[in-house]
Amino acid sequence: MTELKVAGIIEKDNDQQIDFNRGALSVIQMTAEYLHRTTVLAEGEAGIYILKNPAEVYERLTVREHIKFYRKWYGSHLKIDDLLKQYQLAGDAKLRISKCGPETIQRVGFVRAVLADASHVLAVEPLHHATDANIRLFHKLMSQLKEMDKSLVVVTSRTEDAFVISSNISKLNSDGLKNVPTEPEEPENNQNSLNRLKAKSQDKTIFVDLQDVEYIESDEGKVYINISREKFSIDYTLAEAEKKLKHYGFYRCHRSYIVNLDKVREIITWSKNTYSIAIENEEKSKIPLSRKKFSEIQELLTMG
Amino acid sequence: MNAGRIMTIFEKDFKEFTRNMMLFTSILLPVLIAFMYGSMGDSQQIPSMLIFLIVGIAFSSILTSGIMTMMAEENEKNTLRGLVQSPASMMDILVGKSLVVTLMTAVSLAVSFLIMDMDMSWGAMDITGIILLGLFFLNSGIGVGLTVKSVATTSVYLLPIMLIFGFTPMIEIIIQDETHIIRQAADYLPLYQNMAIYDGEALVPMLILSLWVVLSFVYAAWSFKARMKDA
Repeated sequence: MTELKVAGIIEKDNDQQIDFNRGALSVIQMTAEYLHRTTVLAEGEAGIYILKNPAEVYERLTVREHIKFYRKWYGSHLKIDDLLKQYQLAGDAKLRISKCGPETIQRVGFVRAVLADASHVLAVEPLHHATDANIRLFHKLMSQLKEMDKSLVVVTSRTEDAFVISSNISKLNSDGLKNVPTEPEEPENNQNSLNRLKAKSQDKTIFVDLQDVEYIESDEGKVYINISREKFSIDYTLAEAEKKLKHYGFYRCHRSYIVNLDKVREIITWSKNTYSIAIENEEKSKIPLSRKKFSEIQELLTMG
Repeated sequence: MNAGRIMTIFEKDFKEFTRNMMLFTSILLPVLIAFMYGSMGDSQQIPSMLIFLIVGIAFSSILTSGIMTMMAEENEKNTLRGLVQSPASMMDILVGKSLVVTLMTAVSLAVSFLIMDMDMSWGAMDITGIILLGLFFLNSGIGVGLTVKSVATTSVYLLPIMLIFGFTPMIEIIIQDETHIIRQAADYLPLYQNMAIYDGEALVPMLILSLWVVLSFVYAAWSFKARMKDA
């Protein structure tokens, strides 16, 4: 079995490890610094193929020539045309990479991960700048790797990205690796009324209109509100915030997230048990929706 | 070594070489010079200096520069990551690329000689000498290519290699005095050994040339080791 020692990533005493189990998937959220160290560690292991983003490609070769080259080099028996079709590359097959957009290049990277002869795959920030179509293709890659009995470990710095990949994720911080529970805990009782939220931005205290808030998330014990690309911390716990905002069109969609129902653009089903809420903003932020809330939120969204 | 992988790299790099304007135009350089000198004078009397100037230019600007640039580009774009898992796969890559540049050099030299209408009555010694010279230039290119981090820095290495080892016979034009210390030292450079072999000598120049090949091989092997330790 192949594994990476957590101690080597957080540079502290720790006896945990990131396991590469054949046929299994694990998703781990960590800081950019840890991502880098994980990549360096994995580069030293022979059996791990590292899927990077953006993928390293040859500018003068076409998409098809890339796949042909990797297929031959890794001795794979998969058919080129099938792969082109599966990963929606058939249209760009004859295009040189220098003329392809980032979406296509990312797909070439996915195909290469399928062709690679290593039995373990480490995907580093695979969904960074990914389009919705490519997120779907990443799910295809996930199931294809599983079918081939390869292991997949996804590491990402964004919790939202992690939840788009799986509902079962872990976090790695200086204390080590721990699983993140998905279902909300029972909220405690506490009543208060307001239609503005007090938030902190560095040394300033600002008051935010509730209707501007897109979603609220908790991360490492701190609670943040998200307003068009900006994050401000608030003093409530997520349970307190849920209690206070329940009647203002806010909904606890996940253990770590509260969403403003007015800002919900769509609900995306990536696979069985993996759902996201796409937020109505420029970035189309995706926040996780837990399995048990999937039908409840739809009722709420259609009632009003 | 794995013949299948060598051919896979050969096929890929053949495409890349022909689509890279910088590399592809390097094939034309010896041909251009052959064309210039060939039309200048009596084609029956091509001096050996000219022949070996063209050989030197072809070897340094295609063999050395070609493999150096191709390796540097892989290093710069980090495209070898995920392909190279062992020293054996690195060898496959180097051999595959060497085949591409060797083929290109052969084509370029053949065309140049045809243009000059040269009489090709070369003996076994001359051909052995040319092969040794080729190995020297190839090893130097591989040595630099394995360690250099970007295409831009290759010129730092390529320029001295071209000037000293590729354009060696030019020194006769720059320094007329045969007893000059630089002229004396230049007599030991590889290209002059080939000229001496061509002019009838055999043993001593062949030994000096072999020494150059051994030196270049040690450099390439050292680079290879350093690179594999690094990765």
